[in-house]
Amino acid sequence: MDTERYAKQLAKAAGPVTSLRPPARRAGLWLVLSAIWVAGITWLLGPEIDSEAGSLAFVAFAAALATAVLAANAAFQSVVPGSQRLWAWLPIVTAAAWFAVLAIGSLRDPAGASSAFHFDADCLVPMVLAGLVPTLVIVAMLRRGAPLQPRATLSLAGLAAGALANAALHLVHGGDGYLMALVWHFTAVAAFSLAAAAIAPRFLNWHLVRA
Amino acid sequence: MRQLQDDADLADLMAAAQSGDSAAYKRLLLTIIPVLRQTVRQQNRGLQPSDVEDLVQEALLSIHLVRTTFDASRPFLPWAKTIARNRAIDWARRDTRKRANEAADAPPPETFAAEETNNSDDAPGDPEALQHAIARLPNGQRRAVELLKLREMSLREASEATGTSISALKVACHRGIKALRATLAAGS
Repeated sequence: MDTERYAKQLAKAAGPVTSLRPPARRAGLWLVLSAIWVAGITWLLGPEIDSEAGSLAFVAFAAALATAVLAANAAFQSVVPGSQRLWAWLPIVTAAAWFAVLAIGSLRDPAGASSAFHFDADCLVPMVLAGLVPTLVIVAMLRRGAPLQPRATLSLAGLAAGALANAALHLVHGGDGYLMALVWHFTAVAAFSLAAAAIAPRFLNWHLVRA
Repeated sequence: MRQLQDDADLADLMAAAQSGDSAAYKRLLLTIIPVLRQTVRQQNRGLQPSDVEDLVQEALLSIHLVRTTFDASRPFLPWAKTIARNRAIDWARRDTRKRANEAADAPPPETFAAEETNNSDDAPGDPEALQHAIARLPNGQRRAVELLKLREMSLREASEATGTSISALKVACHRGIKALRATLAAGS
């Protein structure tokens, strides 16, 4: 078909559409909804804040939360054509800081090191529960954008949901040692993010976009 | 300065299109066709003219599908060119995979010897009627026809994109084509 004729047909068939909100606002909305869910899970499981935790524990919590916020923003930016690619690097920086804090904590305070490598379902269950709904919601929201880089988008989404769940885990499992947090929490988030990237084309691709 | 003014005009046309102004939308799409041609040629050098047109039409469709992502307060051309480049990159990847993995498709699972199914009249017909007929197909058949016939994906690519087996796609596509022939024949 002639391209000009095709363009006219597209224009004829088009109706009004509602523009998506700016990426930062969408990310903010997702964070609010997810925080409500995570707060509910935390309340159900019973918060267990470690009152003896030092400032380093707070920094680790803050780094996890910052990673979640920046990764969410980057994910929503990535489905808007023409957005700056710089956004994708910011959560990498905070994730690296999070890793560094946990590593420093493991060296300074090796408490619980002997059990750090033992699998603990008490850690995994809250993490999965806390991350499940935020993951589903963010994927549903991202599918309304342009699937320009599916793997990068869902990797950032996985990082956002995983980091948020882990920030909550700091409240539920406040007594976990740094090494355990590094081995299980951080690694789980990294693995989840990579797994999301691997399966991304099934959920974000141009063939699934509907006008 | 002129380029900024042009971009501002295009952004205004797109904003009008988003609120349902089809005349503005038509003007916008016709205006950007040369820009899209230049963009895809720059991204994928050495394209045949027919491939350029296919890619431009793919870019136009993609622009149409994600027009909700355009923010009228931002420039229009970077937004449109990003989409065009993205489709050009996808096309190049598909083309590379096709050349690397090209294998003759097995014949479809059903064949018909009856004369009425071997109609050699291949006149193009009415594209709008075809579009409506495709939209009315059951989901699985519509998807198979869109991917294999309209977007000319290989069976393997379509299977990977949809998670459906190759044999199921073949059957769905064949049934879809059969249903389309019946619908269009009844319409004419």
